Amino acid sequence: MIKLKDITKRYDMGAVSVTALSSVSLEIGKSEFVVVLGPSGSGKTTLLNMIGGLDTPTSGSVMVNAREITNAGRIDKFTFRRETIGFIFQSFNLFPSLTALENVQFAVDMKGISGAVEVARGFLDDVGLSPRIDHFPHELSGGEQQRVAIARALATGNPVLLADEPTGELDFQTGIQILKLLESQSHVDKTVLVVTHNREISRIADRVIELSSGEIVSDGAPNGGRAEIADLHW
Amino acid sequence: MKKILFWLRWAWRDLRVRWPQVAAIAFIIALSTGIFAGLGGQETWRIASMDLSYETLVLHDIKVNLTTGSFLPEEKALAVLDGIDGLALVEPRLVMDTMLDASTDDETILVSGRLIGVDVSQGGPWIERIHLDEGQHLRSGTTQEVILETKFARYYDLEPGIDVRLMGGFELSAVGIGVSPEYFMVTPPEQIGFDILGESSMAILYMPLPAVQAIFQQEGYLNEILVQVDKGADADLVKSQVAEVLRATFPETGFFLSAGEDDPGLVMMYEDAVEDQQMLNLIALFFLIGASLASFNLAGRLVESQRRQIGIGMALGIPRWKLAVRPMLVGAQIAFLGLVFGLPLGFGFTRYFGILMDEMAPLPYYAGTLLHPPSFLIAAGLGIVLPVLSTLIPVLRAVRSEPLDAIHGHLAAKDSGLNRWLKGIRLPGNTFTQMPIKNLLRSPRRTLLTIAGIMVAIALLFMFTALLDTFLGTLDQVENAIQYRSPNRMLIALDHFYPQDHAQLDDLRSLENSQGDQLMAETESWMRLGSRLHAGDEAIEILLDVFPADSMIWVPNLLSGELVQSNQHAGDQEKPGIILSGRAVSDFDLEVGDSLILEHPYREGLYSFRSEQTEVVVVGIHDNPARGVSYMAMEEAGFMGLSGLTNTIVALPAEGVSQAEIKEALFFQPGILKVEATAEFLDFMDDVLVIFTQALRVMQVVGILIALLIAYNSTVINIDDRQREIATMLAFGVRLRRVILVEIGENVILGVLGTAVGAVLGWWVLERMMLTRMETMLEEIQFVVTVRPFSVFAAVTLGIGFVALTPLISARKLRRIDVPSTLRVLE
Repeated sequence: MIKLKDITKRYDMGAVSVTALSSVSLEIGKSEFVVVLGPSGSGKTTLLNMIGGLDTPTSGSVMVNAREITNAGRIDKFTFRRETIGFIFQSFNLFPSLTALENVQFAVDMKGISGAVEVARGFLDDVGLSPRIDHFPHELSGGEQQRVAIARALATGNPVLLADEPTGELDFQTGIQILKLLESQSHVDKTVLVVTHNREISRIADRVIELSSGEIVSDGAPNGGRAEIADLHW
Repeated sequence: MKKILFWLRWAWRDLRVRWPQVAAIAFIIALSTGIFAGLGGQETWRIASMDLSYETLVLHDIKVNLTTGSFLPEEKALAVLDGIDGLALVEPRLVMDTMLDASTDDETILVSGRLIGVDVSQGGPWIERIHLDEGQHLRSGTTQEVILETKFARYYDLEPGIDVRLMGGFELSAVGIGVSPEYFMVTPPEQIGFDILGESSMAILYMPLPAVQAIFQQEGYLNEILVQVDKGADADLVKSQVAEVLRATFPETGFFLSAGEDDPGLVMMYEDAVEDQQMLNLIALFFLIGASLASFNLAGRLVESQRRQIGIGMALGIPRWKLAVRPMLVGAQIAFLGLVFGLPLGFGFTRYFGILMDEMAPLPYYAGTLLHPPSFLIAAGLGIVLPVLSTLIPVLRAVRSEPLDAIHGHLAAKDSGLNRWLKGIRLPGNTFTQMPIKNLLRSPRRTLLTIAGIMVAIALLFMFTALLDTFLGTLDQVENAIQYRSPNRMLIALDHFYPQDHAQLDDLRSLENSQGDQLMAETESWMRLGSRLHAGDEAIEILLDVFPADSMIWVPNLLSGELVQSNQHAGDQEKPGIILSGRAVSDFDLEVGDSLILEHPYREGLYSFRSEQTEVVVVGIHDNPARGVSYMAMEEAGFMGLSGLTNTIVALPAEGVSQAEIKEALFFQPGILKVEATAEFLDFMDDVLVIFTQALRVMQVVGILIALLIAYNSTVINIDDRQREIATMLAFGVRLRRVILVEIGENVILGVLGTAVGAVLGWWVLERMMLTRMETMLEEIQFVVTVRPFSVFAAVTLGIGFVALTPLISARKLRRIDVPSTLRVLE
């Protein structure tokens, strides 16, 4: 599903050159729930941006869903993201002028699917927000906003979900709810990639890829085996 | 010192990022303050210049005008005035109307002329002195030297040294070009309603008095006396004494006295200066309002974009007053740039207006320059206060908020604005079509300020466009009224009244060209009289045309009433009927059938007239908007003692004969005062319109510029404010052009609302304010408020089209958004 081969990303800032990723290679299959773990500056967000077609590697190749996107043109990348990726951000990034329903409807309209309102309603129902569909983002709690964001990503119908610190702005209980939602998507043929610095979250993953200073330091099942979400605590 | 440099360095970096927006706001302010500064001093300058010109060239205090055709022996007239106390100076003049041929190799110039015989002995004239612009002064004893009036010479590009001819074949040489106070504004009587437009159709020529007397065989005679009163003397007393003495000495001669300060041209010029200033102040005020709205909206939003940093500073414990320095520096930058742009713009507007005034109403002397320091100081003050206030208010708001609210303010909107009204309401279309309106409703204050700014700019654009259309529409109406039925007719004014069957007139009518063809297909005997209408306390000057009711050439086109009283008005047939303009009727508050008093000449002898008043009844209203144009059927005019007489021949050229041919042929005929083709008047109007058009176009361009700058700045700041939203859309794969379309959609709404309300506001201001002022300034004209469809189309296209498309200017900026960086959460 996702194949990265010798990905290196270097930022040249005048005399200084910063290597965000160094010869990273990995493969992620369909329906995997993967956590990319690492401290701040480890390159995990850069890795996410590579997979999401938001950034271009200095060297190496990126293939997602049998699509080579390494040196794809601007238009092709737009098309790729629209058809393949669903983003979930730490700060939710909902559109403040649109209600919860309309934020999700946005994703459906983007795909040109008819009956956008009903489709959006369905996804909000899936994330348990039916009573709040006509509320604006500022009227929703952090957890509710993130659930809208997840519904929006799901509404694209795209096979890959990329979540960058999805629980970063949330309290523990709310974070757990969000993780449950994300984890459940891997059971319905979606590939879910969660980027986090929170080691506790990595315990529920099928696979944990740990990055440090732009390199993969470990890649495999979580230490101590996969835990249940109910066992998590931070 | 280091700390100050630190803040300045930081402010400089802010400016480097924001310089287009800062410059745009500064330019908007500069445009409006520049207009205010540039035009604020025109009244002071014009009045000071007129005072200087009139004083230097010695405007007469009193003028004795003899009735048309009357003359007095010069020596005797001056002698009887000699004994009156309080007279400083008395000068004789002989003023005769004639025709002038000033044709050059390039152009045929045959116009009405007025020959002013002045006393040049002893180095005069000392009253109504002639300011020489080019060439040389008149010399005593010369018989063929004239000075041409400046505006006439300028209009036709004539220079000293050219030869001119008077009717009757008198060859003269124009030795100089100059003007006297009486003719700072040339007001030919037959152009009532368009007094300011006389320069091309009437040539004023100055000549030594004996030479004029010789030309018109009036040696030793005068028909005007100019009087200068001693300083400190009672001018009214002197005036009444002059009148008394002349009446006693010359009882059979009609005359009237006028004061120099009542000269129509002078009065108009001084009134114009005051009223023009009022109108310019109104225009400047509108521009300032537009600039204020723009400044408060846009500068305020620039400051708000620093709110997060202010919040961080507050969280770090930095004093609020220190945090206020940086955003206030934005205001200072705008103020500084506003001054930098505004000063040259102000000078530019000053210069432009000076050139305009010199073209329209030139004066021999100017008091300094149009630069009016108080106006510039006020404009500079406004240019500083506006941006400072615009930044101060949001700064105060920012430093008074809680630090966390300010820090996190960028992550989520505080509220949804007016979108809460749409809760539960499904708008048509998808989210992309709904986004523009929802984005606007989210920030209602901001949206309203932007619309208001565009609205004021469009109101100005629409107002000036409609003003121009109104001028054009009114001129069209004049043209239609004049050219109705016989567009190529000619008016031949005779030097006095003749019996209609006079042999001289028969010769005139049967004039032939060199091939023996008759020049005129049709001729009719009319009369043209200067008169006055009285209704209650009101009185207006009119030009009364007496026409044959069964005229084959031309009769006035009536809006209501009839040409001649019918039997229906049997009871009123004792009163003669008169046809008036709509403006005269409305000014006097009359209707068809109402009566008023006509003050008119009454013929007593062959060449003598007295003034008489007769009650007349309004029988019709004609379509010419010029107030003073009036008509009376020949059948009704017997009460004036002029039955069977004529002083004007109306003629139609024969087929294949041009008006110029007839003019040239008539030029050498005796008894002709002047020859006019109706089309010439309209050609001249077109020339004058060019000046008005240029001035109005400048204002239109400024209005458009302000609207565009407001829209551009608003768009750019919108994009900055919504970077995260735009980056989110791009991350989801929404194409850039769709993002731009959303922005365009917002601007379309802003443009539509701004243009719609602006057009209505512009119309309202035009009707209520501008036209009221125009009708006061040009009280002889009935303005017809007109807006041409093309003008509406242009205003709408510019107002909506340009505003809507400004997001395209930011396409490059949008393309360059670094999506990952923009979406990254800043801890």
